[in-house]
Amino acid sequence: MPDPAVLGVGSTPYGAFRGSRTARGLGAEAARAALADAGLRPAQIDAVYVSYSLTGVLEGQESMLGQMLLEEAGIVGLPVTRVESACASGSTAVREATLALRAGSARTVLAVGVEVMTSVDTAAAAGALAGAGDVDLEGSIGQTFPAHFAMVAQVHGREHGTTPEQLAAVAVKNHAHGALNPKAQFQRPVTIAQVLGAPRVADPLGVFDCCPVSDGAAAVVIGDGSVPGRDGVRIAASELATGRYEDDRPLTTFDASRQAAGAAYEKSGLGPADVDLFEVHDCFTIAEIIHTEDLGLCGPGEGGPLAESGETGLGGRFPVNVSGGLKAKGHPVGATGIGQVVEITQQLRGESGPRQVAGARVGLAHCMGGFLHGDCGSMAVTLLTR
Amino acid sequence: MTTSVQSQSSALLGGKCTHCEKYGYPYRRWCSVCGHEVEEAELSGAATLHAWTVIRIAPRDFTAPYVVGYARLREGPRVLVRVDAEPDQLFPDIGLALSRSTLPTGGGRQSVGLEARLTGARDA
Repeated sequence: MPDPAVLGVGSTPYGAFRGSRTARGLGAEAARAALADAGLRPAQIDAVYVSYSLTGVLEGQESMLGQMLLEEAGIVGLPVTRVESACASGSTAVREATLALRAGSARTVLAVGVEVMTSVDTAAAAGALAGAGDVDLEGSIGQTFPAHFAMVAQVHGREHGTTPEQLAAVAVKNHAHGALNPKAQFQRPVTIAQVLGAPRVADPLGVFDCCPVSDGAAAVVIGDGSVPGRDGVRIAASELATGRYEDDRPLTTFDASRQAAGAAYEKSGLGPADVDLFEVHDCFTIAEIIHTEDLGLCGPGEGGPLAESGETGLGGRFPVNVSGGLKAKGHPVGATGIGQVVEITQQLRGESGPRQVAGARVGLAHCMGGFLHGDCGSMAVTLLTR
Repeated sequence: MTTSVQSQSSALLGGKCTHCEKYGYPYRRWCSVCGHEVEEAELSGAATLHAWTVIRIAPRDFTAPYVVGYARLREGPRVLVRVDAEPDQLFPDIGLALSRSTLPTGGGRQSVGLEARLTGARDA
């Protein structure tokens, strides 16, 4: 059976729209953009997977948001499935779509992800995000996601010598990439000095070490592969793992990343050296550093020097987050994983303008969702080829 | 950065697997390592500090700054704790005594969670 084919992609701009855009409107816009890109009408879609995580809690429309945004988009009468796994919701929706295609239960599937997080104040959004962790164990002591990754950075620094400057190099790089992306939330470069001098969130992480709170939507139309699509982009692997929450696992690596990436590499017959660009879950600068290690771009503990070397920038050996990543493109939770697939598809088609990775044929998307006992909830890896 | 002086402490009730004998905190009915049943076990609360940070932007109902950390209990589990100490007092593997305590959130509410006090020893 041929690999599923990406037939069309679409995305709204990401940003902080402060209540001026609704989840329904954003989701419908992305869905229609993907359909238009695929050259398909709603009647040609067999099933829809919708991902959102926090919007319902924040806005009161916890149930049925998928059906409602699809009604706005004029896409009705189809099986609609909501997919939720915190920040990996979008990637998980893509995976469910590919599974439906591989199972033969649909020929053409739409996956659409959306999140609206800035229509409420930041504290409310942060409170909802805390629900992606263990509300009892972590919430009770006032733990935060930045604090977890701050401790990861502390241990990484102690064990491997990773420096604040190396962390800052990730933010500088991703902001430079975001400046080339007209749909990014932040389109301005920042300097190492700005990153290091910014207010601290949880030592040693500052404001520029953390991704923003964002609104936005992204969508992808995937076919069963019987028709290759005009550009020949295919999903060679879409893998999902969850943490094992082992007490003695090091804080500085995610076994689930290695598991999901290992499965994706094995299924596709590709390795990290074959990948032309990586979109990874840089919720925090230290997170990108450890993901580059877990995905095999470098050895354990070598992510800091790799970040500082420039090899993970546009034009480098392993371009990482040329979209700007969560850090600069933005992180509308339910849209993020689908947005990564949109970026990679456009890169493999050669449509990415000033941030184009020359001759890109293979891209890897990596997305992480939720926390328990300092380990991840879900870890998704999607490999796209042309 | 003292978190509390009037905390009501209580024993740490965790679990021990009836098959692989691994300890866990908090108590979970089935073992996440081998899948067998877990029996309740009181934990010593003796621990060492693995990592820590100062939270400077706090969630709603908490007032920054305060210190949180990952501690390793003598019985094995790594747990997330509120650390009742100034950050300049801390170093890797410093000894801690853990208890379930009533923590002031700063927002006028109280929250019950794991709190660590320094014992001063390098090895608990």
